Amino acid sequence: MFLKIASSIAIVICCTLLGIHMSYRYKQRIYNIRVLQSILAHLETEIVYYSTFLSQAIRNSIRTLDGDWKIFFIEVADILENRKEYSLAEAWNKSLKKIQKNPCIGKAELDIMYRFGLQLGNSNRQNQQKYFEIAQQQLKIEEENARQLHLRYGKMYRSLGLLLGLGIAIILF
Amino acid sequence: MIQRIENYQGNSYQPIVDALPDNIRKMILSINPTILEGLEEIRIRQNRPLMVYSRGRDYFLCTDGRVVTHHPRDAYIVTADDVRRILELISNYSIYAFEEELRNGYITLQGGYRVGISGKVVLGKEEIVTFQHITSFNIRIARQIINVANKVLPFIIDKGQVLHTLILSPPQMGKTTLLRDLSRQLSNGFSGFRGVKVGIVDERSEIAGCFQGIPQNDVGVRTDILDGCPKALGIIMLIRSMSPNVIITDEIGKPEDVIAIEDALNAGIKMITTAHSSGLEDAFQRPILKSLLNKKVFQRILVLGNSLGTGTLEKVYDGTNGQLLLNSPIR
Repeated sequence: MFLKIASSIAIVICCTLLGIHMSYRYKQRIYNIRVLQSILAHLETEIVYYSTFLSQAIRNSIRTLDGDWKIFFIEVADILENRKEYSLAEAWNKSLKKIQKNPCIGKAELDIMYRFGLQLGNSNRQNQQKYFEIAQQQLKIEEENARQLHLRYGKMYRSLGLLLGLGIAIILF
Repeated sequence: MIQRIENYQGNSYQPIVDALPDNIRKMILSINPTILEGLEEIRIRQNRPLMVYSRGRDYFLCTDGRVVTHHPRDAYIVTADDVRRILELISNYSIYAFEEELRNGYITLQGGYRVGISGKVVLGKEEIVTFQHITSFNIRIARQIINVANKVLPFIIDKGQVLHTLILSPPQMGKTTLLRDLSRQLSNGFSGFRGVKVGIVDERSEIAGCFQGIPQNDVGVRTDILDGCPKALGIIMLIRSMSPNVIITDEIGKPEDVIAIEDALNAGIKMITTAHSSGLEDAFQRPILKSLLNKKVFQRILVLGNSLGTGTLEKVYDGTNGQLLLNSPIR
């Protein structure tokens, strides 16, 4: 009897944690988009107002920020500073591939960043500013979408986790 | 071969080596050492053979690193991908950082090396906006020649004072090299002369070869540089803010330059500048120079040529009375 109660409690806790984890992915995605917007805003200042070289501009922009996108930008800056085989587009895509399996980063953000990478660094400051504006607008839309998804599915996964745990526990009991 | 590459990369040509894609870098580094040491230019033109210019002659590069003077069948043909890579490398993946330089048709590398650029330009209302397609590069290997100004100094310094000086010379006769060493010596000082504050208005980044505002050539310890700044504006800015004793600029030729030079003279600042001209008679044919010469603004007028080789000091005039101070050329 005691074993049954203990295993039921364990099942309920595990399922609830699973639900919370699933819900956390939606919340973390919103956070990552906000960090990305912040990095791009810093990068825009470095490029448009200070004309800092791209690798240094990236390093300056991520200095005080964290989140999953930071890994991507560090990778890009490292490749550019090594000045070896890769072009900027290749370095950008190679680094994007490294984070594309991250569950807290949406495909939509990856697509926005892929398109943005094709234009980065290869035109004058005025044009660069336009590309930053476009990327920021698209990210703003994605942030709103991510928030809606979080509202819709975040609570649902948390409740589902608990209910699933209780369901399994009742069946086993 | 490996040793030669290491030696070559160990010296100050590293910025040029870094600016080339791997395939071209290997070809350049494997060419004959005699040609490599005398290298003056690397010419890269899309869909055309890769060429180098060394000790006054041009050569074609073959894919195996051979260098020949006639156009060979197996000459390496520069691809569109090579051109794109070079543009990324020379601009540090940051075209936006070279907006103004691109408008003037060049990019300055670390070390003061200049890469000339040509291709399809985009025109605005009155000026070049940018390049749409860049297809040719001329990587120039500039060399600083220390003490090249020694022969000139006795003529432009009188009783410890620098004189207003105009250097006349046709292109490629060593004007800028001379200016660079004049700046170094006037700024650092030398036996019998205490160094003075020097201001350089380096409109085309040729004199000091600045990279991110830092001079890559030795232009002296008391020298301030306004890099990429129009001459007329720069002269006024230096007068107002940096209190130089001597202002050095290159290639005057616009009406506003004359006004700025007169402002500098009125402020008691000595000017050393240059102009494209083959001699004093030729200078009088040009309206801007003529007006300056008629006003007897310059106390010394130096004429450079190549009668004894590049950088020969052909003649020196006293600008106030036209008297010839140096009759026979010296080098």
